[in-house]
Amino acid sequence: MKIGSVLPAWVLVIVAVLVALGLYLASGSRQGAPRHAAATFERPEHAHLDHAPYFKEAFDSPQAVTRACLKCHPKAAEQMRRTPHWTWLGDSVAVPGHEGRFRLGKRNLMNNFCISVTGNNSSCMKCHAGYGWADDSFDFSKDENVDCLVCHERAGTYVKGEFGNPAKGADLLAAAKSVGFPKRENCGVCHNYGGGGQGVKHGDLDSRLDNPSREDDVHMGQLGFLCIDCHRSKEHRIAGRAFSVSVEDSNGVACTDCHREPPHRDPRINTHLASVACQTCHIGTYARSLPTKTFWDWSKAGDGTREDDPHRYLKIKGEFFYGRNLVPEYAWFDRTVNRYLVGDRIDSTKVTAINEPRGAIGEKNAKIWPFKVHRALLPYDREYATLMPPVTAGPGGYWHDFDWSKAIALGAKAAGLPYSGRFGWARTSMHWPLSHAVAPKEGALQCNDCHGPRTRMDWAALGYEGDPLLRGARR
Amino acid sequence: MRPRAIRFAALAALLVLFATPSHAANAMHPTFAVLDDAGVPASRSGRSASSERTCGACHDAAYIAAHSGHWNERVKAECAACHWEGGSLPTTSAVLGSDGKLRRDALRISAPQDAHCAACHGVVHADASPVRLPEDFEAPRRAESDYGFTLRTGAVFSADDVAESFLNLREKASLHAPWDVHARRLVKCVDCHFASNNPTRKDLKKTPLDFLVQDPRRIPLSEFLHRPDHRLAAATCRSCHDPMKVHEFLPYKKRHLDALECQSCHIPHPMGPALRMLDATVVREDGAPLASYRGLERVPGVPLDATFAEGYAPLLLPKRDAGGETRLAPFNVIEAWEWVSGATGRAVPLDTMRLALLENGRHAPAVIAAFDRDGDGRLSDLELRLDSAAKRELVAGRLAALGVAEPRVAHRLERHALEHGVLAGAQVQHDCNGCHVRGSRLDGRLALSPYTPYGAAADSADSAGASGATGVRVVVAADGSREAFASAQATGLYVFGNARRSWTNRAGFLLFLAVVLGTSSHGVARVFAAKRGHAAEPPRERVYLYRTYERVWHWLMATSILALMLTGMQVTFASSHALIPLPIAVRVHNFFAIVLTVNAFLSLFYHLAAGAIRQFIPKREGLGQQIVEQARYYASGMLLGQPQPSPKSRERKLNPLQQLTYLALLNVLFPFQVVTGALIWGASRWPQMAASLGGLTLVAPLHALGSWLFLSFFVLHLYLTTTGHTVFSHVRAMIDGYEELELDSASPSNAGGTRASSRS
Repeated sequence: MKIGSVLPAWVLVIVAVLVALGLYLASGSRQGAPRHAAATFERPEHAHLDHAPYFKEAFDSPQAVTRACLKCHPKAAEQMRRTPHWTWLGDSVAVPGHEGRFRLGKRNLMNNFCISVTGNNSSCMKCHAGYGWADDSFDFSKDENVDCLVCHERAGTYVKGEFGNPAKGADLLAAAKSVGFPKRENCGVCHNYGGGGQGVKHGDLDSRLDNPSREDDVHMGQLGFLCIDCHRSKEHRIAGRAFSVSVEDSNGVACTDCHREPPHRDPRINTHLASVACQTCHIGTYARSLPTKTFWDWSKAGDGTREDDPHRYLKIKGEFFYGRNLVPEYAWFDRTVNRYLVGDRIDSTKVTAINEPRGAIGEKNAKIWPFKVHRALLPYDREYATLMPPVTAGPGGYWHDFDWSKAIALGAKAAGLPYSGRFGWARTSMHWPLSHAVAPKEGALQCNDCHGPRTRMDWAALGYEGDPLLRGARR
Repeated sequence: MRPRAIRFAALAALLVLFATPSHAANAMHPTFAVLDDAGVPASRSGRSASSERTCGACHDAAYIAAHSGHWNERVKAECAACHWEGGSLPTTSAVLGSDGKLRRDALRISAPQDAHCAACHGVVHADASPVRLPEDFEAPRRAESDYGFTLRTGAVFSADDVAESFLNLREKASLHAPWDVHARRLVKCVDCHFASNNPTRKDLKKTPLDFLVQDPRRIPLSEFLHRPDHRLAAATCRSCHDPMKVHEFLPYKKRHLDALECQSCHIPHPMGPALRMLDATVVREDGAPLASYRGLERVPGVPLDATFAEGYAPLLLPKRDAGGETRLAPFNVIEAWEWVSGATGRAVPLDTMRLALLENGRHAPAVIAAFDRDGDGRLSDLELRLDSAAKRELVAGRLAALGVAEPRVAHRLERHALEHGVLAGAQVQHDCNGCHVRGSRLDGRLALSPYTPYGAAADSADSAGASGATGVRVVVAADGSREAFASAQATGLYVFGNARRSWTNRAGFLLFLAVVLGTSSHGVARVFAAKRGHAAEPPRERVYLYRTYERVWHWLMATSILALMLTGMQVTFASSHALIPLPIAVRVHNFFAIVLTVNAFLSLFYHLAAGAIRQFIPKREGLGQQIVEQARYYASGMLLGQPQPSPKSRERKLNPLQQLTYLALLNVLFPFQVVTGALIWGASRWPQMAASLGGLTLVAPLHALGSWLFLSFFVLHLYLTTTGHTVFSHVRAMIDGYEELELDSASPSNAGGTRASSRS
């Protein structure tokens, strides 16, 4: 039939354009769906090549497992050896208030939890992606010491022990057979337990995220995201920054990686985006299910008469406070921090901020962020005015002899710090910006949570003349 | 009145104390000495403070009292009740400075806070604890205004999520909306209810002059502070909002906003305890009249907070605003029963009722004897019911003994407009089917009294009308329970999908049915006739009958009419099962209406210019004869295989019957539909045009009747296309332009056809 004689050409063109437009629009709305996603009853897990057939015989050492992996993935170890998961050092960066450039990482920084890894290798290196980092003699160039399994085994039976070696009795063959891309549990085994226990360090990471509800975390609980859906990796280098060790945010992860157009229908909310981080409203409270540590007084340690309770007091660690469902503290943050480096002098009359967020009301690229702030009393040298990293585990360590001076002297030696022999207790704080455990939309903050008489904001401390609802936003 | 004022202040004090965070001391207001009513410092005399003397030292107390809605026979709110944190001025010397005046840090004076208003008006909730009903919510009413804000409409003024409240609500966990979005956005009571001569209010003086946006002239601040006019403003939604600037999803925005108050959609379902009935023909042991609440069933012993409640959907009734505009707005309707004195027509006060029925804080023995059914010596709410002549006489007698002349039971129907508990965003009524279907919220119903007091039935129906409750119809069921009905249609509003004018639809449908029956029986007859065999096929010739433009025009017309009929049907009979959303259907309808009209005018131009118009004009001579012949052919000749009396030819594509039909269609029905359609479309922008012709109530059903006629034509037309020499030959001709015409009739006309085309 001669359609052309019935319908003019322009009609056909319009129809074709409309159809094309419809197809484009219909295909457009997929952005933001997780690439991997956890298995649910409705949806099987993203398939991964079954590695079981490749491994037949038992391994006599963990290094043998790595060698087997490298047969097919020859570049993997070399790639891993360049990442902070292996080096525990970042790229060379400038640190505000310090001359020169530094490579910083867990290896050479202090925190106000267990203070420092220096001299505490036996337990700290449980979370090193390698085998046998016992002391400075560890050979970082050795491929076979890379621990592939901790991130890739999916059987859930692999456990690391002293110096990062597999715990006794770990079934290496079963672990090797199960490998695939990392599950939430693979990341969680270290990151959920930072600081030596559930939810100790991060207020927004704990084992609830292994299998979260929608209310725990909307991305993982409702949409089935895995960690690696946001923390994407290139050549084993995983995107994301923790400001407990990083001082800047290159290769970071941001909400706007996926949420390009803010989906708020209300223009009033969108005007907030110039000054308020997404996290501020969408993570209204932290440690919503499991408690997190907010305060640690090391000076109270050593009292054998007090009853041990992992959430209140331990003879080896001192006194703590834990909190649950906490309101964050808020500060301007341009995603760089002022870092306390080992050897920096402190003012013992003031609170020493270990990683103070940088930014102020006058700086355009700073936004108001939510933080978990952990406060702790740490030992310091009264004469040199430096924070001192004590050795805790092992012979001569505090947990062994309960002698602070001895432990500090040992730690000073390991860190190359002078020690006068006179120590005191310094007040310190650490800021943990919150980005995980994003609440579903009905849990987001509302106007009156920040504005009006029931505000959670300290407007004066943030540099405002008063409630910006009445006094206007920053200019 | 004095004790009431004190109680008022004490209550305010109590609530303010618990409900508000402590405000900072006022840094601007001068310090002053708290005086008693003799003008002596209260700390010295030890007497209670007098707002009139204390505040009146500077402010014009007499003026304020004379210009205040909170200072009258019923209510006497002291200044401090609304302006002092805690609600009463301090008289202890602990807060005094060395000069005998209040210390500056003790100066807790401010514009009224929400908690001040909450003390009397209802559940206004400002602190961090979950929303709950005050302990004394159900206590004997002190004055009619007590908690009236919540009692009358079910509104709760709080920024909190409903889901986080203490109340036992249906599907509470899913109610992630604030009790009131203004509270959440930090709009305070006084932001809308401000002193009406407050010079800082920009929206205060509306000018009647069109060329002025506002009148900038103001009284000086000093004068305002001396004589503030306490007749508080009641800002409407439109004082702050311009609804025309939003609501982009609404077709006919102006029409909707002219017909509806904002509250109709923005207060869809109050969840607080609103009154349903107040029965003051009896009093409970605690002196309160019997009350029943909307959307909840009381269980004896269970507090109101814990009673399972589902809120209620208000009635949409016409409301006249201050500007004289009438729009539909949501209302709660409360039925009240009370004794009135037949002589004076005045209601018997509650205190008199208590005197009549109670003795020593309990019901009088005679009352118990008459009412106590279960014999437990106490009267439950279910027993306290005036349901027999004996009980009625007993109460009437006891009232008469107290001096009430000719007591009788009267009935009031109160309409209370919903103003608070406003929602925004996703919680608001967005669904077209919320209104545009039969039995939608426009045809609302609200339960009233579950019973009718004995002897009140006769006069109660009348008083419903007499109370001025326009648009409310009260229906009394056989068991005496009563229900209020509203209907938008009864108020003269024509709402597509909701209102149906049965006569046009019925007539149109009957016509449509007749055509369908007629054509199908004709078709069946043709099939049988064809089976019997018919005359030999005459020789035929392929003739180019319809030119490209004519075909495009035809199919564009056909598409438009089909789309118009489908979408028009959805608009008229809108249902939730429609293929496309109603707003899109409306837009599609309007789009094709324009396509159809433009197409018609273009084709008129074409037909005039090309002379093809002659095809549609019947020849006058012998027209009657030809019509009869043609009708006879359709009725019998076609079945018997007789030849077409006016055979199709290039010169004459239409037979006389067709010509007449098209003439009527194009000259009468078509313009009729265009005009009525345009009037409906224009009802939004130029409402007076449709109104001058009887409004949508008349125009819309006429348009619907026209569409039935179109539909009938459509069916007939579709059927007649099958009457060519094969079933699809006419349809084919309209697609490719060629039709096989019988040779003998086709030959002479070919010349004519050539002539026609050569001319164009």
